[in-house]
Amino acid sequence: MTLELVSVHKSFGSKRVVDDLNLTIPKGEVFGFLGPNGAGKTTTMRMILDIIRPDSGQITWQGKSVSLETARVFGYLPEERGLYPKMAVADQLRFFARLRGLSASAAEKQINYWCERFQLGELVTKKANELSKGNQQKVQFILAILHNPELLILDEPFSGLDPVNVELLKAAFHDIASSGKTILFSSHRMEHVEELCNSLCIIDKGIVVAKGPVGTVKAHTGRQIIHLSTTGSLAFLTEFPVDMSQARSARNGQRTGEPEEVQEIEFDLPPGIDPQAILRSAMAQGEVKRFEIGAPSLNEVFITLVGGQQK
Amino acid sequence: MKLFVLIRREYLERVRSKTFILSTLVGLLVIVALSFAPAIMDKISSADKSQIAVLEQSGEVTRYLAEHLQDKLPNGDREFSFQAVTAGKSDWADKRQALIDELIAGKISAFIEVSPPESPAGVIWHAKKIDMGGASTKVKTVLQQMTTQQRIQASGLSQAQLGAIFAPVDFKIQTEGLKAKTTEQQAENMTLVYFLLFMLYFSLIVYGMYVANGVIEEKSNRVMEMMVSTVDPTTMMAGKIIGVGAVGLTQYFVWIGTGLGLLALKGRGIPLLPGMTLKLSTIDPLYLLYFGVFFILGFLLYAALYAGIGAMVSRAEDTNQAVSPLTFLIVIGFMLAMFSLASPDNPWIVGLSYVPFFTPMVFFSRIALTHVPPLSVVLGIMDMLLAILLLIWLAGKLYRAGVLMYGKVSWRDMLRVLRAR
Repeated sequence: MTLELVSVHKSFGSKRVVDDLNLTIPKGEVFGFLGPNGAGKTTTMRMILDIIRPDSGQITWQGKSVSLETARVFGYLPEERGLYPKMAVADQLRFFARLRGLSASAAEKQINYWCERFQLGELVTKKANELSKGNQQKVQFILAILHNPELLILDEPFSGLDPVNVELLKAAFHDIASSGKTILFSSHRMEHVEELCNSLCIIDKGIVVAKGPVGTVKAHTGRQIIHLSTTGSLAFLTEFPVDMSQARSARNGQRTGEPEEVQEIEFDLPPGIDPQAILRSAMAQGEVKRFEIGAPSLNEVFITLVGGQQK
Repeated sequence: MKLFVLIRREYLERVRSKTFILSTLVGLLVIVALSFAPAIMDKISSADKSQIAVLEQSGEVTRYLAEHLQDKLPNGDREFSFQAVTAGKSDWADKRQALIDELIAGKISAFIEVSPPESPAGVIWHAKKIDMGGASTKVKTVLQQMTTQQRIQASGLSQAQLGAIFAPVDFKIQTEGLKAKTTEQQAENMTLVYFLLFMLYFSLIVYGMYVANGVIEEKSNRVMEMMVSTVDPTTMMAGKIIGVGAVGLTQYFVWIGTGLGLLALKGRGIPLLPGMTLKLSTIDPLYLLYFGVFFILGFLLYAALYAGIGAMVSRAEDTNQAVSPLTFLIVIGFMLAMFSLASPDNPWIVGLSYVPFFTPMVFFSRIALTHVPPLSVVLGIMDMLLAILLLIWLAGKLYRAGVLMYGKVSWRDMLRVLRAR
């Protein structure tokens, strides 16, 4: 019951877009698909949907090669709009629902449910091109899930949504995932990925640079980040030696509402240094409000893995 | 089921569109205008009465003209009225001057000087304008006839001999193998065929463009990506083509229905062009049936071609250029059909009528104008059906491949796509 990609290659002309991609996404998982622009994410999604075919390698869903047949139990949200611009939203939803084999009454029920949930209201009577980008995105999302697909492939589902709508979409994600459906989505918003995914994969220039459960990927770089808030001086850190140029600091007591001036800093733990030694030195300088050792955020991991290579 | 959903969308979206409603209304307006145009033209030309003064010595020429030139205007009035002005040698110049003044003042439309003193055998036509084949020519013909008669009589032949000389040859036209029994019927059939061919020609281009634009719209909005992952491309193509075809048929039902209604109201027919009158009584329902068949077949064939080309185009601006080869094909088909109006049995025409691109127009005109054996008709239709199936399948493939072809698509790319599975 899984989606499996085995050594998938795809080139457009002389450009290698996907190079030896291997992925296994178990049923019921929410899988994040990350990578910079042009990394091959959209191409991979299109190959899973059998819109384009790989040059070599295999893509299977529940053991069967993907085809139009399997694509029927998939839901797809393309990155760019895939709506008829001059067709009324409601007609559009009905059309795609019917096309995917829903009966007229079942389609109506689904459309009403989702339109209400996404607060589309009167907008359904309007033409698609009269809607804002965010509202179009919601319609596009409804289009992808109307037929209750087993595998949901979403290319940048959060783009163009305001925070309220992002929350609506996240809630829908949770519901769909908890009903045992598989979701594969791409995003540039790392906090969404971190929050929603079980596991993820980062690709760059068609090559997988990291994959696995979120925790594993975050530990992938081997970096440890220390977060320190203290009332004392931070000058002692240079002795460890902390690369101050890479550190992110803030001198700001208002955030925590404390009267005295608190300095906050976040930095990479230098290799071979015991974090406890840093804590002891910090305590000698002043009152330590917070000391935390953790993995870097997904955002940082992403920048390290992908941005580093671009340099 | 899926096909039905696709057809329904194509049909409803188009029929509801402003473009469709407007073009149908404009077409209706043209049809109504066409049917009333003759009446209006009649009104206008009825104002064309000619008051002609004849300056002569006896008044004899005036009588002859009045008797022999009885052309009627469309409203039943006589076109010409003649008024004799007699003058002798002495007052000739004065009378002439008076008539010239009247002519310039617009009281008379023309005047004729018969045997003026300066040229006793001549006739001078005075008018303010030079008319081509109009009143002056008619008057000249009658005068010529009068002179000829006078001269023959002067030579001493009897009235009986004269009659024998001028008796026309008994020349009848009896056609064999043609649909029409008489020349008039043939001319009427040709009028109908001409008219229907024109409609076929226009609709192939117009509805073909509908299809091409539909495909390009889907492509530029990436709806294609949604479609390709939902239905197979041949079904997709078939749905689009049949949907647009149904739109075309709807428009035709409205137009032809109105046209037939108007024809029924106006028994004497609607002259489309001088000498080409469309009458209800001459319309053989069979022609309309054949028209329907060839409209549908022709549309399917060209729609598949237009759709295939649309799939290769990525920007709406490039459409016109990309479809120009198809416009050429349709124009060639139309020209061949026009040529076949004159000689439907020309072996070249017969041969070319089996080329699927030309069949709808050329075969239709052949069937309407000459006897085509039923087997050939079946052959022609089968031949088109085969070509249509092949082209729809091909268009589906191009559509499938066209999803990701943005930018310029070369012929080599296309061939590569077609060879792929």
